[in-house]
Amino acid sequence: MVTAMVHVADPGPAHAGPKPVIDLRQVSFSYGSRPAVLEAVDFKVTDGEFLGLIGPNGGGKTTLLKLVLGLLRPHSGEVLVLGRHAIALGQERRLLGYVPQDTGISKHFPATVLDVALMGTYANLGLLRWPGRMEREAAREALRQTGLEGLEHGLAGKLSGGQQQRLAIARALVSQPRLLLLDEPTSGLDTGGQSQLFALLQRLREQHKLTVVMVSHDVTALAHYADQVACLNRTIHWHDRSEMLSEAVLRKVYACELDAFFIQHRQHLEEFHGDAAPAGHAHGPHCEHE
Amino acid sequence: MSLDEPSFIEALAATPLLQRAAWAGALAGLSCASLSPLVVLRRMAFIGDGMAHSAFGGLGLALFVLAGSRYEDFSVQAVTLGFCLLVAVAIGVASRRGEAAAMAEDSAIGIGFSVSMALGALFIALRQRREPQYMTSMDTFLFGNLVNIGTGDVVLLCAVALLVLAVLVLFHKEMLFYSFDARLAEASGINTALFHYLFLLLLVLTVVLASRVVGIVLVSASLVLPGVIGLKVCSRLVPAMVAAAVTGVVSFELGLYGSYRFNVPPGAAIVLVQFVILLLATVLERLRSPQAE
Repeated sequence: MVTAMVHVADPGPAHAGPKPVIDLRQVSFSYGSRPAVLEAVDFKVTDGEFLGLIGPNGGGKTTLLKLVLGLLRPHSGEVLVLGRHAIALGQERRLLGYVPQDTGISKHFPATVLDVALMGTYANLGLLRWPGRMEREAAREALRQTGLEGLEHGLAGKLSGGQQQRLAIARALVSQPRLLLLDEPTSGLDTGGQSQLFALLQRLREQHKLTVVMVSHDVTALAHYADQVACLNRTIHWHDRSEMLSEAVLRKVYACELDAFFIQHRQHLEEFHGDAAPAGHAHGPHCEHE
Repeated sequence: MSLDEPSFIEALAATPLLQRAAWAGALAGLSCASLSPLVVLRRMAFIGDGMAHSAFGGLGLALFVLAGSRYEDFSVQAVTLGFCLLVAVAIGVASRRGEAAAMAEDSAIGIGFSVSMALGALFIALRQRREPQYMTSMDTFLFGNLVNIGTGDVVLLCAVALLVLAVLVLFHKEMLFYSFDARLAEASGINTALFHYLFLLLLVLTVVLASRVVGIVLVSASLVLPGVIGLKVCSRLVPAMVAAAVTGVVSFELGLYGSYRFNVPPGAAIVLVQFVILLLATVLERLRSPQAE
């Protein structure tokens, strides 16, 4: 198990600018009496930032997203989202767009593409109100932005894997979120599908001024698109782009899984580090390893 | 054969008992069938089945505890309902705890269902030992008894059918989202716990009251077959629910007619009618999309 000291960025004048969209303060969590999944995790994500979360399976990535969504209550510490406790977000919850892991839609599920996109409006509508013209227009617009126009009336389950992922993003976008949380959206996609998805996210992020948190194993793509990457394995380890993803760091975080991982990624990493020269610690938190 | 058809209609017009059976069958069919697309989508067929069989435990308990009671008594129905609600809560808790669950959902249902059946058999044997003269045949429980239906039964079934329809109409968008992806619905701010237990409550009410009329075998069938049929012929949830409800009512009435006409048990006739409709729906589905697997 990795044990690393975690230091948060000094919230000095350089960081006093944008208000944090996500603010985790010394958050620990465990399921029942089992060992802690997260321990004293402490970080901020500021407005408009793209944070990539990597780490081994069971390292607490999905748990962290659930805490931010207010689906789990931390055992200790505070999870603040948009300045409020995540667990008590209420109406503000619509400002969180969530794209879960494995959106595989059953082939014959009785809902059209438009129906699924409209689900993004349900929570906001509340009980006993149904989508009207405004909601339909918003859903169509989200489908347009995600490149699914023309497919509105087809069955959602008949879409390809990549299209289903884009539909999940469209559904998350319909409620006009400020924060988009994605849990391994590229798993199950081929390389072409993965790069299309990242390009789409990049475009949406610019258009909607979105803050994005993405859990992914696609380290290479995160290196290109994310502002910061954090490695999560019970505790959190930070890397800004300059020092991102050195072999030593990844080895520490991924521990025993690393060999196979590196055979696959070494070449990409070397290419990346070749054209993005380190520029020192411009911003963001850093970590010290024991 | 068709020459005999008026005789069924005539008999229906002349016999209040047959009228009540027709109404009760239609209402039980409507309630079960309306819920069935969601049962199918949520993969809750086994829960429905488990609850239908748990009713046996409740029935045995009621017959044992309430001295001198009969299968038809409302007090027996009330105890059965209470027992099933308890089993439903236990199943509900087991099926909602997800990753933290102590055991797999189907195992929990299997245990609840078989222990309930065993308790039912035990209590009924004890009761039989105590007062052998009062016992009804257990066939009534398994296959229902359309002959002993009173106006009270029809009124209760009508109330349950109205409740089921009201909930489905008012909350179909939440039910759709919940069936689509429960975790996602919860993450989006839908109170999935509320809808999960509301749905289980509707299932219990329907199962207990309908099985009193048509038996648990038919209730289990009617919680699945009409739903599968509706989802085969319609590609969206609400039309599929309507198609399932129509299938439920039509199959009950056709089955009742078949039972009268050929002098066969109504439960068997109804299930077989539903199965024939399922075969027709499968053919229709193939014809519409021949490339589909």
